[in-house]
Amino acid sequence: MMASVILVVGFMGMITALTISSEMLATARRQTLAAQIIIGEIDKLRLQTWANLPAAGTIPPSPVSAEFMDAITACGLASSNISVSRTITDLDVSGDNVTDFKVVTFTVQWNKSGTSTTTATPEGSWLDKLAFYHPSSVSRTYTRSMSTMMGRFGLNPSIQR
Amino acid sequence: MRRPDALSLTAGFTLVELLIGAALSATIMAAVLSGYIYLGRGFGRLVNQQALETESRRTLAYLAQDVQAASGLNNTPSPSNSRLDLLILTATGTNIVTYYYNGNAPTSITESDDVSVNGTTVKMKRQCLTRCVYNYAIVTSQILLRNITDRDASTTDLYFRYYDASGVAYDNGSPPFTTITSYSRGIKAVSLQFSLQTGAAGNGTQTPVHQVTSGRLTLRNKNYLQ
Repeated sequence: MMASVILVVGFMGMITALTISSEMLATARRQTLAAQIIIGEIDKLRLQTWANLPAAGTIPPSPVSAEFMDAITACGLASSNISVSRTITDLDVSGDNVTDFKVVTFTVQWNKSGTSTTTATPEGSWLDKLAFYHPSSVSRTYTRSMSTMMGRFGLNPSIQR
Repeated sequence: MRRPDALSLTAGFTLVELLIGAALSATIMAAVLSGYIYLGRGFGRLVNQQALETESRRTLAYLAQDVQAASGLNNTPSPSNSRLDLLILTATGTNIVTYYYNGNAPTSITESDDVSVNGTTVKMKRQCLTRCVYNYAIVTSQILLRNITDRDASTTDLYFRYYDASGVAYDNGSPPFTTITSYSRGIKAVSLQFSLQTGAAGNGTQTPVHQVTSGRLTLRNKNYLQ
């Protein structure tokens, strides 16, 4: 009897480990993808002249560039479950009321595979949270952000003055 | 004193009881064994997926570093969707960094092909992406991707794509992304797409296709129309 209990508990533990490991790997892949999406967006802005850079402000979450769709699908995500937003802040380091730098922050946001509900923390029954039973029903939202600075005359502040 | 009954001392299981016990034991053992096999395959598949993820991240990191540092593209040979030659300034001169995808299918006899990289013959392993650095003396090479898969037999599954400063691609816009046939001075950004898969389908350790797309990496140090 004791041996049976140990065997069953051992199996349950291994299946749970397998499920959690799988979800961790999926998250790692999506993190890589999100980083590539952001790097692409940053480099698009770097091709712009200073005058053509967007004004300070925030663009709400919008669809990701179409060239990533295959990779998004291969990651187990629907295109509607991943979005990118942008915030630009002007900096005046020389104090002459002229913007010298722009800080650009991109954020990619996506939901756990199979879920569309946006939640900062996992939601679901205790059984769901164990990830032993149908783990996809646990809602969770992930984000990845990266920032870059763009300078009117380059990034060295001493040149700005 | 009463002697024990000789018959009760020798009593055992009937044949039917033994058969039922053996059948139950066999069923339980079979369930346990298949459970172990299922878990073993699952963990094997996870290990393979992890290997693909590691390959992908390393490749993307090398490519981003090289493209963003490059002062230009080598125009001989012209950039193609399987080959990219970058000029990278160093303290002692200019290195040429070559990314080469050998799309030929490996056979039991031939696993690699001789490819000329800046006048030096380099053995390029088939269905692998190799990064070579030429410093005008020797070529060193390193395989970045070993598990490139052929999802669609009619096309290869690794593409370099090229864009001008306004983001317009120098290709036909869909796989196999037929690239410009001669060097274009307007190239200002590069991206890479590839698909990986490893493991054996027969034993259940084969991974799903691992599709990766890089962002459009700008050749920051390359002059316009250079």
